[in-house]
Amino acid sequence: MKRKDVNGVAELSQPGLQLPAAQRAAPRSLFWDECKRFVRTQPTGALSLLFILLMTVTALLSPVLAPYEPDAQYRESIMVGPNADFWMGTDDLGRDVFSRILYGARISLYVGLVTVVLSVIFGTLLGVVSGYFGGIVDMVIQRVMDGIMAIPALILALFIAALLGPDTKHVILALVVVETPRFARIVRGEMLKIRETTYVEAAKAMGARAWRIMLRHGVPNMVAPLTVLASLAFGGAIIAEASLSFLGIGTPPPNPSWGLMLSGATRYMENAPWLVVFPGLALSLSVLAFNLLGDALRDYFDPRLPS
Amino acid sequence: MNAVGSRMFGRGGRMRLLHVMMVLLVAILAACSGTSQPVDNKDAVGKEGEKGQQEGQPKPGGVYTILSPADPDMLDPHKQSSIYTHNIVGLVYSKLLTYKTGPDVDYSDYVLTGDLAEDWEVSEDGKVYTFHLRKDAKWQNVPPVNGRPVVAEDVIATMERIRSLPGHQAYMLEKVEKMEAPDDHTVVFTLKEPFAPFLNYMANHYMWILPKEGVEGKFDLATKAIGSGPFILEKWEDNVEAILKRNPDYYEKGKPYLDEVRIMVVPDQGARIAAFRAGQAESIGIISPREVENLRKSNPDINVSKVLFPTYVIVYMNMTKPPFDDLRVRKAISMAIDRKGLTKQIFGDGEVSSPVNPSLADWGLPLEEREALQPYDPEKAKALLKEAGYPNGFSTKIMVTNAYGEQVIQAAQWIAEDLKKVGINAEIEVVEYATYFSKRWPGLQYDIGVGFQSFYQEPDEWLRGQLHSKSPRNWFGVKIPELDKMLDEQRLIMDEEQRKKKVHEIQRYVLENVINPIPLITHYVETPHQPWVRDHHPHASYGNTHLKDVWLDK
Repeated sequence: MKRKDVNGVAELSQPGLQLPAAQRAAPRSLFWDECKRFVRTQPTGALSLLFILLMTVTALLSPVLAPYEPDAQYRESIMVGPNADFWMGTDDLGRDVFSRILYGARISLYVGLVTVVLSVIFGTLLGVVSGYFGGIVDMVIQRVMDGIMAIPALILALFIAALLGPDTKHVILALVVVETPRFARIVRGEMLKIRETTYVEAAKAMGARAWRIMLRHGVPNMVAPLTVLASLAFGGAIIAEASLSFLGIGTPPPNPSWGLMLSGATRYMENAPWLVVFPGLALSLSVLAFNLLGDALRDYFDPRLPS
Repeated sequence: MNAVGSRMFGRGGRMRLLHVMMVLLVAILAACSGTSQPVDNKDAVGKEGEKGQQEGQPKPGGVYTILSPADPDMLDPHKQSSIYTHNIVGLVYSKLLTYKTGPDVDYSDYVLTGDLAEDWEVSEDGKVYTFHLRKDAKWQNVPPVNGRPVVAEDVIATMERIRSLPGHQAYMLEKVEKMEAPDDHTVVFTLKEPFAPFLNYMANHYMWILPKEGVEGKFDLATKAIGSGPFILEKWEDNVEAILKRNPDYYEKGKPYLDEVRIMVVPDQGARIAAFRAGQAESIGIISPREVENLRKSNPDINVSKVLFPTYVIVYMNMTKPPFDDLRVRKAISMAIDRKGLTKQIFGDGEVSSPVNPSLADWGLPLEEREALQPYDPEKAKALLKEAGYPNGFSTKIMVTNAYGEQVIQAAQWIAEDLKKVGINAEIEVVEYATYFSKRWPGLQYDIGVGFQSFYQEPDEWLRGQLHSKSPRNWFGVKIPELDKMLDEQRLIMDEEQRKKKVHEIQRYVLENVINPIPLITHYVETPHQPWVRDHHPHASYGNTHLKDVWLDK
């Protein structure tokens, strides 16, 4: 059964149809089949996924893994380079960089996750409504989305965050505002296509209500493009939080946001390069991983490529 | 918004120039003889680290470029307290009195000398001040003043304007009962009662004398400055640059030597340092000790002046609510902070301060007393907290703004860690500048705050300004009638030695019974200078008044 053909969903829900056992048990093993295929055909993507999973585990287990508290100041060891006690050195207040990097992963992942989840939810809602109903609803929603997208993303995020004050919550709010239109647009496009398919026509003929059509037929068909976009948006959100924190309007001190760590470190670049290198590496690698994963997913879902 | 502008300078909107050591000595001499002979009690020491400032034959000519992180939003000296306004208009205007600059005067040495007033007298009862204007001072040869002489009428018009405008500078003249001009070159102020800070206030940067045409609105003071000073403001493009040209009619013959002063706005510190490295700028302001080190590696010939920052880091508490209304809690907080460590790690070089900052020479308490009265004793702090009813400490918030630069935020984090060690759990809250300075701090909407205080230059402002229950700058909730009385008394003491004794007495009282705001530490700041700049002797007062003496050896 080709993954693209989600008519399977409609077929399965029809009473009286007997499917071979393998297909009835489909969802679970189907998913694992997908995973195995993905790893086989997209090694870079798989590696990125692994990295992200590692990062997630690290973030969750940071209190266990970190050798020191992220805020603890070891005043006899201020600005020391990497050594046996402090694997990535210490900063200008004597705090262990390695511990801060580990805890910083929490901030990055938290911001990325919440931003993406909220953007997907709001974007999907708006896009589906917009695409399904068309007409004036579509026009109004699209004009608003266009308006938001006309403003360069970082500038808009900067403006919102600066207005509200330095706080991680405000960063998330700003990023959700910026990201939602992108999701809405993709979702709307997909919805327009799906609207015209025969199975939707059939569902309508059967008397299915609008929301049911949107949820049962619309959304499941959009998972692929949404996943790709979500992965890219995750990376974007991490960088955006780091940028805003770097400028002093994101996560406030003393939290170990990687962007904030970089901000403090730039003054000491010549004397203490480790303060710049490690947060910089952490950021680059994380964002790279999400971007590569997004690319791999997009290649994987592309019907033209051998899958 | 002065947010960026206020970065390193800790003002919040008001700057005052106040004289310390010499003013009353001079006033006493003036009362007797009417002439001012500034006397140096200190060793004439050049600033640390400086070399190459030879006496040579000054060469006229050249352009002096200053890179500034911000620009003022207007040039009106009576409506704007920003250091950036005064750094521009100070080159254009003159005052009745000013602070001496030169090789024998230190950065924080407040030696009164005449500017537009060539001499002055104070009456026996301290209530009548007579200023004699120099006869060769002229307004710049620019319409609408067109080079006419500076006369008493201009001075009176300026003073009337100062009194009529809202703002703190009016309080400098609040004791003045009447002002008269018996002739074109004499101005007489009669006060209601003796007021020791008066001469200091006359040298304050709010007291730039405007031509009568300016007061009358014949040119826009917000965008144009026409004065009697060494430089003519040729062009001011907001947030870009200000260009000033030499005034050929300046009354100090031969000066200024420079043809032109150019002030350009470059907000990024890295860019300013790069320009300095490339020899494209003569002055870039304060940079951190580590940045100075790096600069020396690439430009070994530079001179670096190291001066005491004219204010301190304050740690202040909201005394109107518990637990900060309890003296023991305040004392505990003060004792919990490791000042020496903080200074060394975050600011490089500095010392514990006193309510009157040591940048005002010996008006502040001597160092040994400052250290003795503010010990570092976390164990005692814990004991005090227990006594006050907080054996397990308590939770609180530290308010700090990001407009004063990185070091203040680091200091807040250092302090939070120190407080944690005695059981006080402090969460840091970063507030943006406008909210901090206009709402949270004056409105007492905070628990604890960390920041810089303004550059006060009169003991009256350090003490009465911060601590009197009726003072508009008492943003701490201090309300002690006995203290109010002492603060009112010190203003009436015209004898410098007596006044100093009283000022020291008040500071001891404050450090033992009030402990709010905590004058944490004052530190040294370093500014780099190009090797070809000669006779450059800056002063803590606002206005770049030293630039008239500078010449370039190029």
